[in-house]
Amino acid sequence: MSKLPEYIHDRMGGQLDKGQVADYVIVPGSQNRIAMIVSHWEESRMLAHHYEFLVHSGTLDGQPITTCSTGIGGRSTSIAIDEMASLGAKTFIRIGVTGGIQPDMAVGDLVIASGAVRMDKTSEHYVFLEYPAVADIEVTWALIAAAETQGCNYHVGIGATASSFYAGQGITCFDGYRNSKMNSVASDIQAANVYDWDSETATIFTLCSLYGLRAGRINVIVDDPDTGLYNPIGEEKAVKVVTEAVRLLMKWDKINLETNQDVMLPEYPRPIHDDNNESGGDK
Amino acid sequence: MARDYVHRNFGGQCQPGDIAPYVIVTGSKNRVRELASRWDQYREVADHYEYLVCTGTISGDPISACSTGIGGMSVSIAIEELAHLGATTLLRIGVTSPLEDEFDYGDLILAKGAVRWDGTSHDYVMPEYPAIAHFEVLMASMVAAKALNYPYKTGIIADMASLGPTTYDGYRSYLAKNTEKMQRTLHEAGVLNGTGEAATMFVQASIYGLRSGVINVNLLDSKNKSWNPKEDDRVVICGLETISVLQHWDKSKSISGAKYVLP
Repeated sequence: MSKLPEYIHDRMGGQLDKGQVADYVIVPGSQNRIAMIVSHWEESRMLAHHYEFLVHSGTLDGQPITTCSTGIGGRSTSIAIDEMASLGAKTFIRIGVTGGIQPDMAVGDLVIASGAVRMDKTSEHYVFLEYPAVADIEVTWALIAAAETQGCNYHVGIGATASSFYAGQGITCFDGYRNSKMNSVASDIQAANVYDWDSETATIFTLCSLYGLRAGRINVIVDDPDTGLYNPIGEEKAVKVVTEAVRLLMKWDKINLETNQDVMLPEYPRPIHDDNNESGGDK
Repeated sequence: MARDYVHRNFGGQCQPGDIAPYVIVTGSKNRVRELASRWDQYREVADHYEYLVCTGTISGDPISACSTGIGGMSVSIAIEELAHLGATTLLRIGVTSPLEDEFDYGDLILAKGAVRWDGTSHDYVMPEYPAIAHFEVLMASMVAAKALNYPYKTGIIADMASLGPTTYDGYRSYLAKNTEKMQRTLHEAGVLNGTGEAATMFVQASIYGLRSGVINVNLLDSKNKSWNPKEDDRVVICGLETISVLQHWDKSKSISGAKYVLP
């Protein structure tokens, strides 16, 4: 163990050193999901366990990879991102569970976030509210490609991040308590074409965007609209998709480095009108 | 034509079928004429207030262009009418001067998202909602810019309700107290440049389930600190190329049944 931490949460309570955190970090909410995540790696070891932050590092296809639980909510998530980033993390992928908001969503479906509604409040400490919480395009495409190859039902759209689970999503709290201010939040969010709720995504996107790091997010729907009950049927599948997405990013990053390009892009499509129009493409 | 609101269907001049699914929107009417002049053929379908709307074909595929005028209110009307008339992909092209020094003259800025200092988008949805480009349109614009060999940068841009924070000197060197603070705030957040229409369009498109993107070109020549329209064409050419890339992808998707064309 190295020197004492500067703040209580610095390097996860001083338990981590530089070099122990990989470029690629998978961030679930729950500590329990860490075991499921590392089961896909060749090897892994626990490096820190501090409050809700459980950190494992290991290798995937021989390349370093880390996972760190964030706990629930913006405040703990922001600590996880700040600590991991200062220890060298470059790419974050959140995997979480959610309830789908739009009508064509079923339990077990995956929801990839292109951006997030910043009702987390935490991100407002970092930057003014009108700044957009947007996913990294390369991580988003890697998640889409992985969901495709795994044959999953998935949706790509904007998610909402609330700063409380019950009141924040307009759910009735203990003993029938309701804050009338929150009466319209659920219907406003649905009308605005938001796909799902969670408690971390907007914080992760905002921080990573400000820091110039990459972030993406995949949630699995665990609220069964038919029964109204919790059903984690898709969780294993979501973990598999995240693992595949990291594999893809590792591959793309290697190609990007070799070819000196910033972002992996599809090939420039040959003009459709090739056969009968020679003047197509860039004139 | 009878209509429920003054601006409905661009003053009643358009009907469904007059607007292609792929629409380039831009501030100025002149740029609409410039765009249309590069198509196979086109017709003017509306000329109402600041809205000049042309529809035609590019390499045989339908395309429209629509001027929005400057600012959130007028662009929001244009997006409403275009969506109403069947537009599903909206690509804004425009000219800009950067807030950050890292740009060379003629560089393209491809927006990932926009700061919602437009005002207008707040009429539509809560301020926490993100104004973001559609990932497919953004990627198509990157593919197009790369193919054209135009230097580009992707990042967050700022939509503003006035020119205020992008310029130091108003008339008689008027400088609002807030201006420097706004500039500092945007600089801290690494925002690339200012515009007047992007956030409004992004928010409307996300709500309505449409695809949208923004390409800007830097026309501020940092060497002599002057505005130089010489490379104005880049944004027109890259805009048309982006639409072509999207049309190609959409066609190959409809043939293969795939949801997306992947990297």
